[in-house]
Amino acid sequence: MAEAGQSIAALAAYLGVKAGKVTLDGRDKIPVVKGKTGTRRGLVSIAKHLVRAAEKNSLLGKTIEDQSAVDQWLEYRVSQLDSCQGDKELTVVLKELNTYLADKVYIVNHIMSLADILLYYGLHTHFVGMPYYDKENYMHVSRWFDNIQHEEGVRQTLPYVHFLRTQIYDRMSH
Amino acid sequence: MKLYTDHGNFQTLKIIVASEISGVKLEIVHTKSDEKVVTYLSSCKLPALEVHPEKFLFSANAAARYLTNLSWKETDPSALDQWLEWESAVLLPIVFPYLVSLIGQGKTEEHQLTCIHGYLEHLDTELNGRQAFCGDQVTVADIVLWSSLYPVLNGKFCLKGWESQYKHLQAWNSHLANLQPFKAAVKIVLGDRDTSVLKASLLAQPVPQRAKDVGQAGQQ
Repeated sequence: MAEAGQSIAALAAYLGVKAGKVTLDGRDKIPVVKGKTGTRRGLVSIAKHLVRAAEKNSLLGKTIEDQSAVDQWLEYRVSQLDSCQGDKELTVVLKELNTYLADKVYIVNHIMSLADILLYYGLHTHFVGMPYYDKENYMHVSRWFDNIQHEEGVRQTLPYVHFLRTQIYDRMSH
Repeated sequence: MKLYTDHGNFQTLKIIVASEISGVKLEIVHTKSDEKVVTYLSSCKLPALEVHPEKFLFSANAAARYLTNLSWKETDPSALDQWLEWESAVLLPIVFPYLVSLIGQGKTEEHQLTCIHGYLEHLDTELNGRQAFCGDQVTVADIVLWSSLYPVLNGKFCLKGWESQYKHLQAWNSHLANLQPFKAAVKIVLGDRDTSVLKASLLAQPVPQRAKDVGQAGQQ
């Protein structure tokens, strides 16, 4: 629950809206927020609701196609990233993102979206303790992560993650 | 528009229903179960909808919602968000392994059945006095839930006695089953055969997972 609650709090602060108290649903064990406009269930649904409440709908994608790509990567945060039991699964996620981001600045279509923000929040705990050569190994994810943490207001109170500018490690196979 | 899938992949039902509703002509490209279509993914996760050359939707829910939004205007997007997220984050991580055990290995465990009954009861209650999950019209929420529950509620491997136990769910299931887009999708994915054709894909496809920090508690 920690990661979901932390992401929702940071997102609400970034958007300048009130998130309300995040609790864990008894039956489904997913995050729930009981707000003035009713109960919202699930990390992605809560996040998308906060974006709409802040009237920043462009973060959800401008076209139908972009919206479905944003939805896809929001689902990826919950079903792939948040389901990682250990380093082995995390490595799979980092490799997939690294390949995907090789030719991209943002996750969807050249503009920052909720997908970048929620994936950045979800990856943050893993990047904080990551050694430099691992960051080197996932060069495209690191470049993307570094870019998102510099986006105005996204990082909030999360610790800053340092990346080396120069590639001092040659391309040894790990 | 190309839809890549292996044979008998029940997750394609929702995409085909959506395409039938929105009138988008899908070219279904059958691949082997272990063939990688979406190159940046490590698993051979299918189906994948190729919206534009080399631009894939590997989330079946996102693909179904994309197709329905080509012809529908969403009146309550937040309610749809929540149903689609509930289906992918809560329901499918239970239904998928249940079907793997049932159809793939011919036996299921007690805790799987308990979970399935719990969710069917929840859905039945939600449908009390209603025709659909969001508002009174069929939406992508109905398409996604109906498709993922199809092998649980229909055909040779359906859950014994569920029709009498969950009456609202039964009415909803048969109402949708008789609509043309749903009938067409079943014909395309299953042909005239039974849900046993889903076996190979069930055994080959990666099992959907639950979010970790709440996962353990959910799998009692």
